[in-house]
Amino acid sequence: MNHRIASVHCIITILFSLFTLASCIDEEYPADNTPEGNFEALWRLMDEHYCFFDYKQQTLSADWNEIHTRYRQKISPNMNNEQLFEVLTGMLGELRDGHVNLGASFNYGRNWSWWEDYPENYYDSIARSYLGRDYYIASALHYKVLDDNIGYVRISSFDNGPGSGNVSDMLHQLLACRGLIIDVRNNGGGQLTNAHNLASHFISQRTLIGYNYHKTGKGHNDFSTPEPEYLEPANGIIWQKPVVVITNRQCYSATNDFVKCMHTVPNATLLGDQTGGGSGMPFTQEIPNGWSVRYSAVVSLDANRQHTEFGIQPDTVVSFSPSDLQRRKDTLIEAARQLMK
Amino acid sequence: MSKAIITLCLILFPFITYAQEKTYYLGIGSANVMDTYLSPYSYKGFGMSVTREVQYSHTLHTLSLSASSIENKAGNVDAYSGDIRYGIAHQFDIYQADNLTVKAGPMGTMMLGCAYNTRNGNNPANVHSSLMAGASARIDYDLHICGRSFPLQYVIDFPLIGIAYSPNYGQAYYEEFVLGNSDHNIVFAYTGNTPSLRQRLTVAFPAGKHQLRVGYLGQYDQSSYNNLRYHSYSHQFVIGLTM
Repeated sequence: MNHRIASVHCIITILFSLFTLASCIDEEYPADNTPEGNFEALWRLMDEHYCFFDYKQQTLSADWNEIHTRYRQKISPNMNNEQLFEVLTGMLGELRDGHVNLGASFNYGRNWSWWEDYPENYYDSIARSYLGRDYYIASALHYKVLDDNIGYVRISSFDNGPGSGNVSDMLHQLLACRGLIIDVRNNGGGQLTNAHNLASHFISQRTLIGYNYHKTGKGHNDFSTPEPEYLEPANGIIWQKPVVVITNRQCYSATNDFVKCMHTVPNATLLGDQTGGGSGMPFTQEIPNGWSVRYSAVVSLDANRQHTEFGIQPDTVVSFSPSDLQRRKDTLIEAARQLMK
Repeated sequence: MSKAIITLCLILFPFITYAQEKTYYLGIGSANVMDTYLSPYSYKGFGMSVTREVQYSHTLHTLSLSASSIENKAGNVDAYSGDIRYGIAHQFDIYQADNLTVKAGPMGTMMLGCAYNTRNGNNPANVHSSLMAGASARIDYDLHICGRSFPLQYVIDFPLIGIAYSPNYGQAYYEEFVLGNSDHNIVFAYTGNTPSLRQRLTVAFPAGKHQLRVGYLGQYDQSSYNNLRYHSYSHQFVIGLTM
């Protein structure tokens, strides 16, 4: 009997030890829904999760600690939501990252200077005049054969397609063309898989398109080993004739990645303006007042291990000419046609 | 081959022996979930669970489903979490007196769960999965009030050591499952980084041929892997039917 009592005593001791050892895993962030609490929570959230601090320090001289000091002075206990939103958006804007946003019910904080500070090089009504009315639509692909036997495809988003079948069907329709123009101007991105679906129809062998890595801890330089990313050729039709990709500053995120892929294609030419960039895959979190915080979490490099966060330079720089604008001609499409003559 | 058959028989033995007790529990109560892959803050709301527990002579099989509907403190984001878990415990007689029985022993648990945040973009959900060895104990006390018997039962189990799945700190599921880039996703789990506990206290009332059990269920799941922190606390009122 004594042995049993000793066993029960032993079990109770172990249980109490476990309760003592097993501390609670609970919130670590400032939880006060005050201007100070929200400011500190946002600064810390970015400090521990944002993946481009070193790169932004090198390129923009953006020192996150100095930014804290500067913006903390603008926080006061009595400021209203609109004032707080303006200060917090200003702080995030220092990073000049289109994937860094503050979301409130009344506004969406952003710094879109990556395209707002530059010529647009795209006029929708003029570009649409090249498609006319009798163009084909295959998911996200709007296309037709121009009168000089060059295929023209307009892709305004990678949100919903194209699937690989759409691309094959389109290329089948354009088989007789002597070249292809892919117009991704003003395409702000979407699903990476859709962008890769399209790019995979322009490579004939497994191709290194870049490297990816992510944060592994709270330090600014806590990163995983960069992993190579390869693009496999599509199962359908592979386009091996000349192709020109028309870009502008609003080619962002998944579209930037598409351009990055096409940069590795030997028979492809990038034409137009530099892309907008956005090479960080964004995650979303929040601060105590419920505003959403979007930030770049995963870094994507190109095949030469270079950042494309601030965009990709075209092979041929072409800007919209004012005279073409008056004539309702698209300078960039016309330049692409000339290139394939 | 013969070893494999013997092993299989040993595993299946508890299932083919006579079931002493089979109990179905329904639990309803509060939930508090924090998953720093999705948000640094706790989400709170409603939680429920369904449990099927089969007690053989010394073996206890537990299959449970838990689900919760939760929201952030600001009340502008909804999230959902849930898990399915199976546990098998072998319980030795530790102490036995007229009205008190104590059983305890090792327990193995498999768990697969998920937390989903309706607002997040590339990190909308996080999977929680583990295979753990731990311990369980059961105390039965026959409480007599005014000549009537009210059997009390307290059950507790907790993991001690095992393996668990976790994404890395800033790793996207796209990297892992589309590109196939794993990064310390299977982690060593022990009490220090997985301090979790499940306990239930019930009192039984006769209900015809069966027993009706009512009481409290507490589930405290916690983990800290790859600099990601998680907890799921649930306090529930449970009602069960023992057959």
